[in-house]
Amino acid sequence: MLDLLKRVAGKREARPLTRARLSFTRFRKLLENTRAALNLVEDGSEKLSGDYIFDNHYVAALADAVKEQAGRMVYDAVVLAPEGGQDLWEARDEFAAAIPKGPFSDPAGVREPEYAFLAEVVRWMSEGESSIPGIMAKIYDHVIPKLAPEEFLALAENAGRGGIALIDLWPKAAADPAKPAAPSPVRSRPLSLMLMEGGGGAAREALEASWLALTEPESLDLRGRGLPAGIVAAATLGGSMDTDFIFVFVPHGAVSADLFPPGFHRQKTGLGVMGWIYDAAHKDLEAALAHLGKRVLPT
Amino acid sequence: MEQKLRIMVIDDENIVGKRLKPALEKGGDTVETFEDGRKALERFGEAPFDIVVTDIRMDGIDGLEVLEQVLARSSATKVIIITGYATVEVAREALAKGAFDFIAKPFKPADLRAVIEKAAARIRSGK
Repeated sequence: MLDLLKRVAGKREARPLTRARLSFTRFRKLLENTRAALNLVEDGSEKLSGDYIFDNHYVAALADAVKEQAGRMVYDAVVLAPEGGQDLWEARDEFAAAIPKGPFSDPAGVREPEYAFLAEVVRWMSEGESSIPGIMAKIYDHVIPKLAPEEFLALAENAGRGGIALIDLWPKAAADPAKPAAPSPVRSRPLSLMLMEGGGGAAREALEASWLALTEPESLDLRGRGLPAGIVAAATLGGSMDTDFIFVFVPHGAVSADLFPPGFHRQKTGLGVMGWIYDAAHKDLEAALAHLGKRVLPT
Repeated sequence: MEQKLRIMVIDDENIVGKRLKPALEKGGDTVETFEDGRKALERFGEAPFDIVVTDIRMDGIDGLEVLEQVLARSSATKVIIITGYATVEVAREALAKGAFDFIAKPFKPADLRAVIEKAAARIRSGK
């Protein structure tokens, strides 16, 4: 009992490495939930093609799932950056309150009621400020400036290429929290791909930024330093089409040219532009990472 | 020439029967659609069907009851269950009770046709 009381009373702030792990893991969770939300939007849009048989239960379940997913995204964002999180919850509540309630009928009488209902749900979840892309824009505008790469710099080692401070979060590499692992080859597949052709493109001169890379073998969270709103490239590349995802956030004015590789979806936000790709062939994702590396990383 | 199948489709959502009937009839099979499980079972009592495609969640008689009553009357009939998002567990229960297969909404008519062809092959082989 005394031990328990001591532990409670002695509750202290997490060590820097633990905070880095928490930040990495929660940001990855946010990306996973973002990907899941985008998947749902795409699923509903695809079903509107007319090739599918579905009923009102499917449409209502889809709308509920999207609403829940929006809540998960906001939760992750607020854990990452608590201050000001109320605005995100209000945005989510506004989105949830506008959920279409079926049954619907097509005024023109051309489509079945189920299709009219689904069309309303697709419009609700994909168009305007109060939609999944709209909430994403608010979330990433909220989170990106607060990712604070400087906080973890003391833990970093040099990646072997100028300008990248590396924290390898793979358990073996970081077994001793007091002593970060010795410099070692880059073991993160996404970062390796970005470094493969890292050539100092137009973006590098504009950014004049160095980077903090938080890595695991299949994942990368690359945070640019020295910009008020930050620049972030994050990727999971495990070879599974269900989980692989590349996300990039570029603040306005950070780069003069479009750095997004072919096939990227783009969405403007208040602070910049975010782009992402998933559900693509593995080789296309690898090519996208090499393209990004070439554009933003130093030689 | 293969014998044409008699297929019964039961779903209380009108769109399912409305869309499936023409899609399945393209293969030359006879298709009857019902939105009410009780009426479907009355019809089955008059003339058995080779294949019954039934939604699992319906008001009144649900898909599991349809499954049990159909197999009790005609063990050679293959019952294919249609499930929604939240009823995968129930679909597993249906398989345990003798359903031939299940298909989840939303689906394409071609997806159901593929399951029906497997069922038809089983019927023709007498298994």
